[in-house]
Amino acid sequence: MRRFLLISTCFLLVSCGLPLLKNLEETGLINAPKSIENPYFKELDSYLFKSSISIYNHDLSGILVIKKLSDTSSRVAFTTEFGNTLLDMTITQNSYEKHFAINKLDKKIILRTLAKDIRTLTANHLKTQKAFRQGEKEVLMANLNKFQVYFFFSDNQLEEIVKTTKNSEKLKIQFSQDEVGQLNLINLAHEDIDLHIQLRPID
Amino acid sequence: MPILKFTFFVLFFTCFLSWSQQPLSKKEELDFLKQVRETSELTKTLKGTFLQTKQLSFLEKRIESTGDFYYQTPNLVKWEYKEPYLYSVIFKNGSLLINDNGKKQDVDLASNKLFEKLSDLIANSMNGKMLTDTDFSTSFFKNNGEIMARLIPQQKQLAEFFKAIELHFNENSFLVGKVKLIEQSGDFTLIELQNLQQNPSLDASVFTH
Repeated sequence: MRRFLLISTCFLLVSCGLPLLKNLEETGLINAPKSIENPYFKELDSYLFKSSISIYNHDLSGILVIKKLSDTSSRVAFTTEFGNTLLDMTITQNSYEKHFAINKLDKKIILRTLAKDIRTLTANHLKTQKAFRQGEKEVLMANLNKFQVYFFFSDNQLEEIVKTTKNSEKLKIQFSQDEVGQLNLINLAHEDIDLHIQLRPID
Repeated sequence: MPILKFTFFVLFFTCFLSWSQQPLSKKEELDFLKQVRETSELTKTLKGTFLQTKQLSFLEKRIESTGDFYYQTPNLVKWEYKEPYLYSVIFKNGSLLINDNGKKQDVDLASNKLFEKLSDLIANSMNGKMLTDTDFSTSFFKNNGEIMARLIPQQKQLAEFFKAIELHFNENSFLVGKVKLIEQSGDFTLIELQNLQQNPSLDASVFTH
């Protein structure tokens, strides 16, 4: 019986581990940068995206405006293509303040999820907590509130951000470039809810 | 200090515009409505380009988009964005056909009701019916060769989106040239219609998905 309990406990511990970590080799912080730079949101500037949101087979499209106010805060508006504002909020490191939301979007779960996603997407200069290698890729980990955020760099180019808890992946953000290396698509996919967001930069 | 300068100019011109706007007399208003009605009866189709400008209070720059629009009496409208993205919407027989850069769909989640209202709004702005729509409290002003109708939504559903809608008509052609959608926050979208052609022949394919 004792052996069974021991085996079960070991199995539980293994199965609870973060799958993401299995392919990473920790390298220590000596040669790693002290903070993590997000090259796509490093300026305190405004960023415009043509956006498609798919949530449980419902599609919604519009224009997402992100104005970075600091490394961890931003003002965000979502409008229809016609310009009507559907949502306007300020996102800070730990919280958000709603300025306006149409009734259909004015739900805590929606606002909180969007705030968390944009916070993860745009956070800059988070303190490096751990450094890893995955083949040729450099992987840096930072804490953001109660989450761990892994930044995957390939040739110094940020390719992916994965937000996790201790045990599971929550959000995966992938960045794609065109032939000349310009960012042309950001893909946000949630692991635990059927929510996908695609952002295409608008000049 | 570009922001201060910008704010000063906006304030200055807002004041200037408000001073120069004169309300229409009752007789002028009735004459204007008659002219718009007659023009819309003669207008079977319309075609043109548009420049859309969105102003958000927290954003220094304005968000601009351009494209083509088509209208066929009584309520067929196609709104086709070409820059900086490809996106078109056809309002047809009470339904909404969206083509988002090749991805076609018929309904939209949060903005469906809004788009229905927009459909009425666009078609009824073109045919002038909005001016007598009892869902709005409407007042008329004249200024520099144009007549402006300011519509205040009376329905809660529309008031959620708009504090006021301003339709600017050319004093000579009696066609709508500018639409300004003002939100409760004061942010607005300005749509300027350009290269307007009255009664061009429109191929049926214009209004197909």
